[in-house]
Amino acid sequence: MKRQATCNEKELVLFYYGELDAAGRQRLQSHLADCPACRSRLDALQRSLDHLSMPGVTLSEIEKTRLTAVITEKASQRAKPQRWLLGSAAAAVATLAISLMILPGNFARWTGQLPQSETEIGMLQDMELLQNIDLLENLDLLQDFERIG
Amino acid sequence: MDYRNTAAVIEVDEVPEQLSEPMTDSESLLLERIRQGDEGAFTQLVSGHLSSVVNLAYRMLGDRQEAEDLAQEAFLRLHRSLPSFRGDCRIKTWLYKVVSRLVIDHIRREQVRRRIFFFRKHEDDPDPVANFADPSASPSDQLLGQETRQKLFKAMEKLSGRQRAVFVLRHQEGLPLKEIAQVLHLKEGTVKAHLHRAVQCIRQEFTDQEEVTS
Ligand SMILES: [Zn+2]
Repeated sequence: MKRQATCNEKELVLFYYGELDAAGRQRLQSHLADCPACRSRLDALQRSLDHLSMPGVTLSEIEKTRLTAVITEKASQRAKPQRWLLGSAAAAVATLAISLMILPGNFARWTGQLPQSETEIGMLQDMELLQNIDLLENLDLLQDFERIG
Repeated sequence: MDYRNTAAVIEVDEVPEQLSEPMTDSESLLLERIRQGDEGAFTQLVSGHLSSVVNLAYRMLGDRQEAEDLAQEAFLRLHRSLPSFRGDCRIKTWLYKVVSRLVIDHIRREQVRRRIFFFRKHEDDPDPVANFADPSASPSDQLLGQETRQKLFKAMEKLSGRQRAVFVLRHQEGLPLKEIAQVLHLKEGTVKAHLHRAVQCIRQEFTDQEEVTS
């Protein structure tokens, strides 16, 4: 089936989820009337998504009680220090500084040699990236959570 | 008419600040009790939302243990931020936000970690997808079938944390895209693009023979 210049897969997905505004819906419906290709794609979309349910987990009453107790217990332990996250972020800065200094040495010890290949050097960069991500995202999350409330 | 140019798909609108419904009176009351140090009230809040939070994380991560750990962290963060919690959204919405952000954060780190250790990957290493074959799946999953679950999680593996979050929140939780934009603090156009990518990826996994790309 031939597609037309006005065919838009993304709009079909939005249409399927009821996320097009009135004008968009109308536009798509008149397009669908003229376009067998899109009709068949929408049909396929419905077939694959209509009955697709994401898998889930069932918590038994015992598991629920246990997990709830663990959370409540930890919350009461952590209740006081509002500054906890800030403290840990500061600690993370220190850890980052230290680990970035010692990282190449560590790496050499793992592999028994200095990094030579591009892969190894790339990995070292990844390693730094990882640590930076950990740090930055903790800070990021911290700010987020202060905003969310 | 060429409506591709006029389509509302590539919007660059501002992230909506206030969309979700405000907290109910009973929720405010519950939070007030927790603020006053009533542990029972916090227990009540946790047990009321525990299943949905664990499931939300599980659907995005595909690993039950990680989902439980992350759910724990989400509740602890809720508890910790209670003093500054303004209550302008439902507790459930707040938990959506925290869980999604924790998951996205977790997946991003995992993806970097995997890149680092990729070279060490051995043929006898466990297949990451096999981890998804969780024996503790719910009864409804038995109906879903092992093959479907594996395909679904295999497709999810190919998506970024944000794409997974958008798909799970829209497809499974039925959250409107406007609210998802708010939850994930993304522009609506970005959310739409993530949803499209996720649907493409999942359909590709299920219908190899069909033309699913645009
Ligand atoms: Zn068409």
